[in-house]
Amino acid sequence: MATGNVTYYPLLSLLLGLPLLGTAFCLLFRKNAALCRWFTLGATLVALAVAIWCFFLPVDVNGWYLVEDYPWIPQLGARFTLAMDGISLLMVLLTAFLQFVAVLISWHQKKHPALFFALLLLMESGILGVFMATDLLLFYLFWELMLIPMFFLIGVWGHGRRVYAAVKFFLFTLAGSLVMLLAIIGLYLLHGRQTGDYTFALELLKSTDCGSLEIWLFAGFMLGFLVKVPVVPLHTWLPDAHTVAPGAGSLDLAGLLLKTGVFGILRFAFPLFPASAAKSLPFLGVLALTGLFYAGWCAYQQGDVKRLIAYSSVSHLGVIVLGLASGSEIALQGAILLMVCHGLTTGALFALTSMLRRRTGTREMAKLGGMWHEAPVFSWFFLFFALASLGLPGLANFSGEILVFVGTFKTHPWWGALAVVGVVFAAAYTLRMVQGVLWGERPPGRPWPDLTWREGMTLGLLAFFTLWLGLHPATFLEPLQQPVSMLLQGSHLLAQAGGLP
Amino acid sequence: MTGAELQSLLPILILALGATMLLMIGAWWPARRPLMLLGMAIAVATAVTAWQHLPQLPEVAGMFSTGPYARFFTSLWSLLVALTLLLSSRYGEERRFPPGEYTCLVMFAGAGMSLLSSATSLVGVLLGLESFTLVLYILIAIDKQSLRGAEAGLKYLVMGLVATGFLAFGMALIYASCGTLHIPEALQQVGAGGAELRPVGLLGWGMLICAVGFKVSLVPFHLWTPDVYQGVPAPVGALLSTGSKGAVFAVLLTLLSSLATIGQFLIPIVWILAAVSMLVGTLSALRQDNLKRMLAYSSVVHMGYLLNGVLAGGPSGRSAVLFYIVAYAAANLGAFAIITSFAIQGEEAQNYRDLRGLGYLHPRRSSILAFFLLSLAGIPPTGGFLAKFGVFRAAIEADYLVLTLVGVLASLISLYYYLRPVIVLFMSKERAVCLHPGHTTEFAVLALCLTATLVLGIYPEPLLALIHAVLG
Repeated sequence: MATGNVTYYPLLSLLLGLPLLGTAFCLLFRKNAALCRWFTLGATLVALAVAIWCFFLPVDVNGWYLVEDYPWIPQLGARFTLAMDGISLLMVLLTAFLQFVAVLISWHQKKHPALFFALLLLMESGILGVFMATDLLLFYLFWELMLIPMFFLIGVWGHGRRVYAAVKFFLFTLAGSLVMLLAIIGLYLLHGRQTGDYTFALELLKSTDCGSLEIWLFAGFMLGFLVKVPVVPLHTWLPDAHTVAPGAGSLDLAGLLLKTGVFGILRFAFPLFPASAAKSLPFLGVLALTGLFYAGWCAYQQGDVKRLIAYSSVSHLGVIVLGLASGSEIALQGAILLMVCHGLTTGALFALTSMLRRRTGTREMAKLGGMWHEAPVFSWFFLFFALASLGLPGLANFSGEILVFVGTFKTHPWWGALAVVGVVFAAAYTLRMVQGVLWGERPPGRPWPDLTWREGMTLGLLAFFTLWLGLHPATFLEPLQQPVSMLLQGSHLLAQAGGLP
Repeated sequence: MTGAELQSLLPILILALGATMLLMIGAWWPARRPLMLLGMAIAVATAVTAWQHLPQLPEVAGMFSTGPYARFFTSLWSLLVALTLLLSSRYGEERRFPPGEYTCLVMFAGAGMSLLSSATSLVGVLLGLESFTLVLYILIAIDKQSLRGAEAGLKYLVMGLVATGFLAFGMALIYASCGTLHIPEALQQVGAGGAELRPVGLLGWGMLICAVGFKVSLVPFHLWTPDVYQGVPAPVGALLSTGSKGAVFAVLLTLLSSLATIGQFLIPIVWILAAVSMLVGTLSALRQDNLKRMLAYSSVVHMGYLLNGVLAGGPSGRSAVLFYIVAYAAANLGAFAIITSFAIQGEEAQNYRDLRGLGYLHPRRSSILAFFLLSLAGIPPTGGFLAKFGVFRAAIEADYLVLTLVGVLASLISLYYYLRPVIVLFMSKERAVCLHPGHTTEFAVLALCLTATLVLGIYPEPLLALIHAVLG
């Protein structure tokens, strides 16, 4: 196991513990909504501050910022091991930031506010745990821990067919997770039989010789992760969940939960089974391209703004998976950067959608229009994030996408060429959405107020980082260099053929 | 009996003699709450004694072991008795349970379960099993005004008698073939092929497994379960659904400890019983609209998982079974405690339509119920997850891959029926009426079960270490 920096402050445990503390606080003081709200905001803010602090810490030779390791269940060989490298650092930053935003946009939660914030914080803890755990059993624990709060957020605070969507979400992801659990047990037993050391530690399990079972174990892990990503044949839970989820729920779902799937592939599936991973890349590439186009086409067909953004999300995740599949260092860096960018822009769009719905009472494009004159500030932000989402140069998504495309061109020129066509799709559905909401005839009805200062501030914050990521992505690319090159070289995933080295 | 033998059986004697004493006291001084609390104190004392006890003999009368394994279960079932009595205090008061008799019977049930768990001879199995089943016949129907209770009692009685028939006949056949009723020798004889009438012996073992199947409600012997669960008073249900099943599994682990040597004949039977229990139980539970009936079918499925662990055997299988029994007991007892605490004058809110929107009227107990249900479904961070994990791990380790896949499939589908009450509690628009606000004694039981379920899910190390020590 890598050593990391020996600090006397258990920062990673602190990151996990803060939201849990907030959950307990909200449950205890559930009668006092305002207190819970402020405490939740405080907890997310402190977590964000800790995450930013981690950003400035030095890196050790193996690329770890921080490592914590305590005994947990010695009988099973499971340890409480948390570690943070460049990839998880970015993900943790994104999580902490988006949860802060999620609290701000659900400030006016009227239905059981304390419970809502408690679940939001519990989910933050689960997601952070997923991004930091390097013990497989611990990871699985956090992986499932994320599900329960999300199930309640959709089922209790959702609109429309919320129970159906919540159960579908839970069953789909659990099906994938259980298969992954079997693969985890299989790997654990294989390693134990070979070395006599029964352990769940990621670093030790990497040396397992899986023989003919490797492909099955890899498939088990991938199934668990790909359902969460989601790639196209497994994606049907996502639009349903997004359609009914409350604003903060959608923000977390698109911004964070989907990323855990990609992160899992990078942290566990690829490094554990490099040979199978290398073989699976073409297949993954095909899945990615299929998703990119199919979801783009679906998005174009939608009448509901939120459903449209949900499908656009699946489409963007296709680009990210393409970056994973291309086997090039630049594309992989781009894919991880795009995860952050997509989290911000799509998160912002979902936040805007919930603000839109609060004003107009609908998300159907047929019943919308003329926002530009009615609510100029809202419309400006909407346009800004829509353009960022379709990949306008200078804004967030562009920097990630261009890296993915450049990298893919080098290794698989045809994939790259096809993927660039996908951008046209993105432009088509995004502009259709902008047109439907902002321009055209305003339907008769009550006037729509513009943004409040709190909403404006929240969106301004998101816009600031969208610009930063678009104009100077190097800040966020720098921590990625070492882990990405180690991942590719360590697991021999660099493309063997085609293009330049 | 010699003094040494009596000393070795001390914990169980405390429980049984204490029960008799309370029966006597109850005849003259029928005060319900004090008697129940006294019974609870005796049960706790038994648990502590069993924990600290150093028996002089390893085995009593060639029938009951006094080893760590036996004492672990004696402790566990005594604690269960204590919790059941604590849980019954308001419910029993409102339903006018006969004070002395009720307390005494619950304690006798605990003594019977402890005897069964420590049996090393088939006679011991019969004695233990019958002593607590006999008690349960009465306990199930103890609420004289409840028609469903009487029905449940009768059903349990008829099925129990059939099972006893199977058990006795099986024992006779085993004796005929091996010439001994002591389990280790009987197993060895059959395994080594030393028995003169090996087929007869195997038939005996098969009948024994049928009898066990009735008691722990494995498919196809499960038909009594839902009706009995539905009709039984909730506190007795807590005892019935956790202790009586766990104790049978404890002895099953002894009985089938060398399953591999009995071999080719029994393994397929146990395999099929496990697979069918998991599948049929799951599919039947899906259709239920009654919490207790759902729990009944869910217990069928859980027994299937446990059988997985028994089948896997070995150190990891045995330790997984023990862990599972404890985790399952905590969550299931908790679920029945919730039903008890909601009951008004014995009217239990069993149907899902009585639970609608209750999550906002009784938020604490509703979320705790949801937590127990998630534990039964095996979702982390609950004890149920690590329990299930242990069983699956042991089964894969022993190369029962198909059975594990069946188990995984069952747990996936099972999520749906565990979520349904949760959905009804928290996600339905209509509101049910307020139920009973609950009593301190019930909250105490709930707090204990909740803590146990949570701790087992997050920090199971102490229990695993204890199980390791117990299994030696």
